Amino acid sequence: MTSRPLSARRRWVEAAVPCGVLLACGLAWWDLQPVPAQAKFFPGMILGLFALLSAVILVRALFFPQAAGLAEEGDQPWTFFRHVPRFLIALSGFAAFILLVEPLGFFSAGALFLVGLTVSLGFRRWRMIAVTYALFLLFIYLVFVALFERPLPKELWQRTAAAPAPTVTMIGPA
Amino acid sequence: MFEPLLHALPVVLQWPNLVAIVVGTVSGMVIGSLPGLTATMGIAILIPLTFTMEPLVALGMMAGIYNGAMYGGSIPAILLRIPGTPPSIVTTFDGPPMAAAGRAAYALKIACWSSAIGGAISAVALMTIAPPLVRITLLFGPAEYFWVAVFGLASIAVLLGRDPVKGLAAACFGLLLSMVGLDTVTGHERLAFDSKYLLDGLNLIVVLTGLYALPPAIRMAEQAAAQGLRSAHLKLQEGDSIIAHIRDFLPVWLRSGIIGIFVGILPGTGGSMAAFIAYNETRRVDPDPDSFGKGNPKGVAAAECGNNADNAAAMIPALTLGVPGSGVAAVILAGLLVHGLQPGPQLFRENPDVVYGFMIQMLLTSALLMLFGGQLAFRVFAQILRVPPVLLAPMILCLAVVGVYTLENSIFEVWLMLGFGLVGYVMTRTGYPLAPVILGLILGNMAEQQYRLTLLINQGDWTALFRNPLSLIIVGLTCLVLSWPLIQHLRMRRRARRAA
Repeated sequence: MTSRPLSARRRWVEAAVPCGVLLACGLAWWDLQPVPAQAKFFPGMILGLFALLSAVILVRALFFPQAAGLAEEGDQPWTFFRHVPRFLIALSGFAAFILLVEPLGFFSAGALFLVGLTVSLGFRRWRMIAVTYALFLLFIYLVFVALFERPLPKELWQRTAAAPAPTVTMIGPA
Repeated sequence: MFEPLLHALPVVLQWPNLVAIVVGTVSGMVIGSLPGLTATMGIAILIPLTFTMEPLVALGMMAGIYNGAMYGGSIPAILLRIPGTPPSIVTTFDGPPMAAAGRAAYALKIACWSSAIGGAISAVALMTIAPPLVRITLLFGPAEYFWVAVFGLASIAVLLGRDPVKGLAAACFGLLLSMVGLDTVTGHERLAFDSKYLLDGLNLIVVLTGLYALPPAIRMAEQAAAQGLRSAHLKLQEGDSIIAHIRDFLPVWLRSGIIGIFVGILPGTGGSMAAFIAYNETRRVDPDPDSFGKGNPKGVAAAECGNNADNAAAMIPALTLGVPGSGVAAVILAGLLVHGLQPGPQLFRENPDVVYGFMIQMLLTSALLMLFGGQLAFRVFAQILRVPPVLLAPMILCLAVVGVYTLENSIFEVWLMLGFGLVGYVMTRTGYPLAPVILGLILGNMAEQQYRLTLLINQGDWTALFRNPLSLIIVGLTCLVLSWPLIQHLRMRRRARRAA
């Protein structure tokens, strides 16, 4: 393991985080303004301390990176992401799953997500995918639905079947 | 003192009670091993099912779920770096590095032994020294509770991780998260940004799953490794014997057990704090503290022993004063009330077989962990590691959605979990420790409430926070912890000068 000085990229990321925190602290402070003093004091105190610590981290990252012990370790240069396209695939796939889980139902959206993400990440052993995910979804069903009766979003066909029949209003003499 | 216990023993050994204990322990392990399902939830679901049972049978099942789930939480913590229950966060420090080094089976074995021993120590404390220990909590007023929370946070933020400033910042973040929602005193909305979903505050499991489960799953997806670990990694390696290293483990178990008992009897603190303090103390006294967090078996032992030593101890104030020491103890207390049993001295006087029988059940379920924990963990749960990470990552993400959605049937909480997942990703990549965030979230409410209560009782006089000698001792300890990095730095400089 080798130790090298901080790269410019790491330094900027190190500085960007406290900048974001300071911005969030400002927003939180603004949100606390209408709150009575009695309820505001404790969160205000913690916000102040959080902002102060973030300012220390920011100053340290910009002007004294070595003092902060931010030397990089390993032979590879530090990168925030390990693989940007795969990160985006995983994140967007997960977000799509959350979006679809209520309209499609948990098991339909889950199956789509599991297979879709795995294939998008480059894994193509279909038999393994099918067996593993079928067992996984069966396990979820048995434990959460059958045993503990935890309500998961209903499947599309379950909702269609359970929907009440349209009411027919008779017009005219009975 | 032992007469009521001996009287209750034959009742406990009746077969319906024994079946309830076994079923409870195994179910507890399964519940604990599933992220999102906690012991509290398992027992809460069980209570309506126990209406028709005898009180001791119902309590036996609850005792089994309690101890089983607390151990079960360590299984995904070690194998997947997902804490199955909140207190098993601490097991994620050394468990996953051990698993990555091919010592998953050894880590699970240590967790099993440590949980069983911690639980047994705690049950013995519940049986023998309950009344004198309860007197200690009577010495604590709101000011002392406030300082206990500050001390817990300061020690985790400063002593855990490489950068105390980032640790303290993470603790502040956790404290702020605990204040989201309606203020309990004035009823005003705080840090909720006009969102109706945030008025009840943030659910610990949502934050926990987001911070701890999502970043490793996203990293797994980024790596997209198509090869799982071979079965050889799941077998015990040469030298991985607890008996051979028993001299190393005994002091860890003893220390963590005592810490767990002490923390357990303090209402509101819970297993997470016991595990954190036990881990920190073990790390502090160890000759090689730098090896902690990198796969030190003593780290797993301290966390699991401390966490389980809290279990029965949390029932001491619950059974004697009606004040639960943890969330699970509160649910068990509700179970007692459902069966018409009122906690307090009256319970000991009128239903000795039930109350002492429950104490014996807590001990028996700890012993059962040794029997079932090892077998289940080795043969069933450890197989998870054989699945290629590229298949495992989507399953973890899917399980995280199930766990969070089933809490409140709210998709908003799932989105919130994703948000915390991204925050956790940034924090892990930039060296901010995650544990102080969780501890801040756990202790934030307690710290603020006790602080405000102190001022309320003393008509706004803040010097009341420092008036009691017990408060001053805890303040002194907090100052010592906060100045510890500086002391260490000065000591290192002095050593370097001497060497030169």
